[in-house]
Amino acid sequence: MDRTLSLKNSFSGKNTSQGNGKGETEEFPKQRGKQPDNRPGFPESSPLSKSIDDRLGTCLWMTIDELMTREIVKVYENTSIEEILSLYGKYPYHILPVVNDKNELVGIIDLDIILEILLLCLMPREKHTLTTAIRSLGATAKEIMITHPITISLDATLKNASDLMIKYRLDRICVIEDGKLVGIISKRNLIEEICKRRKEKLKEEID
Amino acid sequence: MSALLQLLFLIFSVKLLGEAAERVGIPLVAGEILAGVSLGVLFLDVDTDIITFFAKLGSIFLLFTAGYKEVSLKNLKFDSVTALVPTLSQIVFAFIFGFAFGRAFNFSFLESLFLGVAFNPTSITVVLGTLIDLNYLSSRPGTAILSSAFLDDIIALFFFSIVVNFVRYNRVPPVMMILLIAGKILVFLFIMYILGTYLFPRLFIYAEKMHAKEAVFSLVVVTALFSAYLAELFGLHSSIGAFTGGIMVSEIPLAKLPDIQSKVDGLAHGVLIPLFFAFIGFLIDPYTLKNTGSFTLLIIFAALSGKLAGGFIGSKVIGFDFYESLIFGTGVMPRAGVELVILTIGRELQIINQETFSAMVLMVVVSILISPICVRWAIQARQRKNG
Repeated sequence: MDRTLSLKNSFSGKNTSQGNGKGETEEFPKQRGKQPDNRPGFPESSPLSKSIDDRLGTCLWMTIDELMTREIVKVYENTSIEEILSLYGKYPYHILPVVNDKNELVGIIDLDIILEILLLCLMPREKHTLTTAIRSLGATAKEIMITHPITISLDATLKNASDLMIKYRLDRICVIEDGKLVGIISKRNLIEEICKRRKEKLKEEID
Repeated sequence: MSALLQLLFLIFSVKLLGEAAERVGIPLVAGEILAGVSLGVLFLDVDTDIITFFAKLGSIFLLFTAGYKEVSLKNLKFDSVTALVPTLSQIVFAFIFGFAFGRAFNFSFLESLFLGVAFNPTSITVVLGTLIDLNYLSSRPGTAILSSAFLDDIIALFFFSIVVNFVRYNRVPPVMMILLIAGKILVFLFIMYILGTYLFPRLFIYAEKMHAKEAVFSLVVVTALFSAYLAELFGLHSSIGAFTGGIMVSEIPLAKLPDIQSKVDGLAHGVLIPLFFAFIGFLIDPYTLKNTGSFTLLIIFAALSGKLAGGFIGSKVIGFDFYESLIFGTGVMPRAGVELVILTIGRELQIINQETFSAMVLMVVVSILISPICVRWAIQARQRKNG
């Protein structure tokens, strides 16, 4: 219970500090349609009533299914590095899941890998390892991806996801169902959902 | 109290001298070994027990992280058989040079066998820097060096674990015993495979759900120690077990979370492995080196030329030109981590004497010093020739 409470606090803290909501949907532009566009700031010192706490409490048991981003950009095992680079140029995403022909998640590519490949000669010496060297020679997604991505299942709860994210400083996790990739859940997904619920609740109370 | 001071001194001086070495353009390991030499010079009564214990942990974690981070079995692929020829050729040549050297100096059969194995492991990290600097990684010899580096260590460790077993019988055992030893190794690998496929992934899932702090990280450390211990039960050496353990967890997502990896790195590369390198320096006896100058020079020459000749001939066979073969030959010369672990064990089991040990450590230092220079020279010579 301790953890739940502290989570709630951190959420409400972030909320007021980003009151005007600038750039909050930048990361997942495809979601913009679903989100209400106009988000008025919250009153600076809105006292959290007991009922809001309850409301956020139920939020913790929502499943990943209701929270995650479904429309994601993914690549295949034989996608070339050039294509991957152009995808990174086009979208603001941090990770690209790699799937095989059966849509099973086999790996992920993240910004660190891309940076390592592009700036190999500038990397600090301790980064001159066999793995980075072999990665830099790779030509396809399969050869550069991280082959053991952390995943979360579709019916896991928001609490499961937030536990993982906070304990291991993960920002996004691939969601799988029977080994097949179905979406990505990010910290932002969680925060947006909780903010949305708070706002609804506040509106109800004002009415 | 003095043990605390010595540990503190070691960790501090290892980092300081390592950095100093790096700044003047010498590989880090050379500076770290030097720190160990300074411990022996500066402290009169060194608490050997404690330092030895930490060094043992260091050697376990050195090989554990090698398996855990570097050897991805999925990466182990050979686009063509061609890469295999130079690899095998340099392994065979290095072994023959080591064995023949031992015989020529009237070493026992076992000691010569050990030298043959100890001539083998390659550590290409120091060459990687050069290859990357000169943008030569993707060249034919570059990729061949990369695939060679994988196989080298695995083969060296495998033969080494057999030779270690020979020592227990103090002679080369009859065929039946050799089969038994091979059987034990296979059973060990099989058990590790079963545990790695069925038990450990589940354990990590439980550990992730635990409320105890850092449960997953602890489990990774436990895996390293467990596999080291299990190997000892099977009569293999602990660090070989740790290497297998590292490979075993290297594909478990929870064990390879970036956060966990950086913690394991901190423990291994921040504390334990530097202590191991320093321990090696501490073990060198500068006085014996002085007395056995020509022997030391010869062993260095034999160890380096074995790799060079094997690599050169092997790559020439598959159609590399003169300089390409030279690049490959000099590229597989350097030794570091695995080599030092094997040497320490050989010394500990009294397979090799103090002089051979000190000479071989000096060989390691020389190899990491001159190899990058040779590779750079060979690459530039090739570029000049081709305009």
